[in-house]
Amino acid sequence: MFPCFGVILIYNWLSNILQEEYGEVRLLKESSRGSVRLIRHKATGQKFILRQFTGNAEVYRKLLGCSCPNLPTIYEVAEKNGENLVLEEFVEGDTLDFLLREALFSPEETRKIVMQLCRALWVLHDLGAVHRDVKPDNVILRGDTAVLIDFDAARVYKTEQAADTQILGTTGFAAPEQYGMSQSDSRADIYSVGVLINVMLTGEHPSKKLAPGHLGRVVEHCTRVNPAKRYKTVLRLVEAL
Amino acid sequence: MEKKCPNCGAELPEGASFCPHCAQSINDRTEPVPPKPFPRKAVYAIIAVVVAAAVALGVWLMNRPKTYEGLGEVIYADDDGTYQLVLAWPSDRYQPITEIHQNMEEGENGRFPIRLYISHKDSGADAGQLFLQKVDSVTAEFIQAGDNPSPWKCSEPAPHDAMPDATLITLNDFTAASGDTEQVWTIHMKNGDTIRLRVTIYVHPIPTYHYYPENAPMDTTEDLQALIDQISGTVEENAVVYLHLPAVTYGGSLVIQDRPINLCGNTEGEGRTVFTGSVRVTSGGSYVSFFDNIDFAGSGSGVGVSASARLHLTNCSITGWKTGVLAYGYTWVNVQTSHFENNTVGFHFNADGAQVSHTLYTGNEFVNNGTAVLLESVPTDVAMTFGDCLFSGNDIDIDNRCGQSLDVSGATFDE
Repeated sequence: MFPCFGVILIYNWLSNILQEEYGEVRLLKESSRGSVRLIRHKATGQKFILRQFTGNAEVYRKLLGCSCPNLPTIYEVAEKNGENLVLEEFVEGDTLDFLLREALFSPEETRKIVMQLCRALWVLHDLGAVHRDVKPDNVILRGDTAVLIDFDAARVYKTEQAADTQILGTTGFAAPEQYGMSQSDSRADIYSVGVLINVMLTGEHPSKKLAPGHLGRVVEHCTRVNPAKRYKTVLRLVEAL
Repeated sequence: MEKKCPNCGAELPEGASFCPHCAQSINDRTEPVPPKPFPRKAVYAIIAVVVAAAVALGVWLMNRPKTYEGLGEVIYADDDGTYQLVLAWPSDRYQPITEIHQNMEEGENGRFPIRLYISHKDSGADAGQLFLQKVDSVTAEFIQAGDNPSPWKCSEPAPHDAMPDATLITLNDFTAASGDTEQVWTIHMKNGDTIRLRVTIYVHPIPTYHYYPENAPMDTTEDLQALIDQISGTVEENAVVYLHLPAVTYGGSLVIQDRPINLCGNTEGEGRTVFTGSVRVTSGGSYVSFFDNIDFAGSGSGVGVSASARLHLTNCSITGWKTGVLAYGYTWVNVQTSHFENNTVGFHFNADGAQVSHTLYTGNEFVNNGTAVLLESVPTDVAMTFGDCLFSGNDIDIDNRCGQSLDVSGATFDE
């Protein structure tokens, strides 16, 4: 029935079944690089995120073998001629961004959530990936569990690469080097986590109003302009928390 | 290449991770667990322990027992001061000797001292006694092959009454066959330090020449004098020369000058070698002439044997002289197992100098002399020993004018 199953054939096979057995709920994003759709399995009613994009899908492929409660599960990755198809768990819950409109978080709540985000980032960093877009919109609270979503910008970073010239990430949460100052690495995510902590506690960017107390000092340590002066790894950040 | 979905049984490509038919994940997943961060405090504690260990190691390296090595000299410093330890000759206690050269005649035994001097480095003052209080033990040994046919031997390092300036000395015995060697002094300090002093010793065998009546003319005093003069002009200075004399009586006087000569009287058969005229030994230097088994027979006047150079007489007979044996000038004379009879003075010592060979005058017979022994000037404080000597029928046995220290406990005096 399947005479030969190469990667391309998995792409074709999956595309066909998705068209036949799944229906689109909503187009979430579309750009020149690709699209993100919310789709639904007709038989069970389960929802999934389907990403179609050109470029490097290495992070997704690496996450296929992982299960981390703080990251969405990647179910399938297929590629044909540089076109990628990624089937990803749809995480239901409220985003931090949504919750922050109602109220700020206490230091203890902040600490608990950020610890979980750090775990998600550790998994990514351990795979040689950088998220590059850590911000309240990309954190979903599913009960007590914080899930870091949206790897759209995630790419595997290469050490000693001259510089990332593309401007990635979200203004305010992106580390200075992501604006072309130097190559972004895992310490760019640490910068973003620092801003996130401050926003959860104060609703403001640390440059406007730094959170008081111990967590304020952690924020300061995370957001130093020189990446070498920040926490070296998320594990060091967890320790400080 | 296909597989079935474990949930719904649908056929799936081999590489599939997900069954899109039943919307179930079908691949194995592992949950990455971040390593427990190593507590900073433990890291600091470990660093502190490592640093402390490094410091302790450094302190130990600085203070551990040290070994000092030197050829002839070691400068040793401790909390009390700095000391110069040298193996030296008594003429300059600060000048280290690195080499000792000994000339040695074949078949003879030699002995010489090696002296250790310890001084304060800065003042030069003697520090021997003070330093010995810090010393646990001192040994000396020779570096030599185990199969040495005539091995070097040395005494334990110790103080010596005759060399009070030296802190310690060794007495070293060897022969010409002992060969070159190195003496190593090992000083173990009470604080664990070790000091090693070395000195290299070279033995130069002395050439020896024997002259016999068969191959050299020595029947008359003239022949003998000519032979001695010829030897003095031709044989190297450091050689040892033996003249084996026949049983003849030599008239007239004989002079040995310029170099030492050993005269050996006849010992084969009945006849003796006899001199009826004076024999004078005036050769300089520090070498000794040996006269053995010779009769010096005078006729009431003159001197039998006069020596202003070092001379040893053994098994000789000295009879009928105004003075039998006279030591004068800068010299040392020994007489052993010899017979003095009918002399006005038997043995007259009237010399200066410091080259004392030994103080044994044992086994002599002094019979019917005016004065058997006349001591006018003897260049040593060490007692002259007249063990196993016979004094018989002399007017005066020992006329000790210079108050020389004597040991006559082994002598026999017959009236």
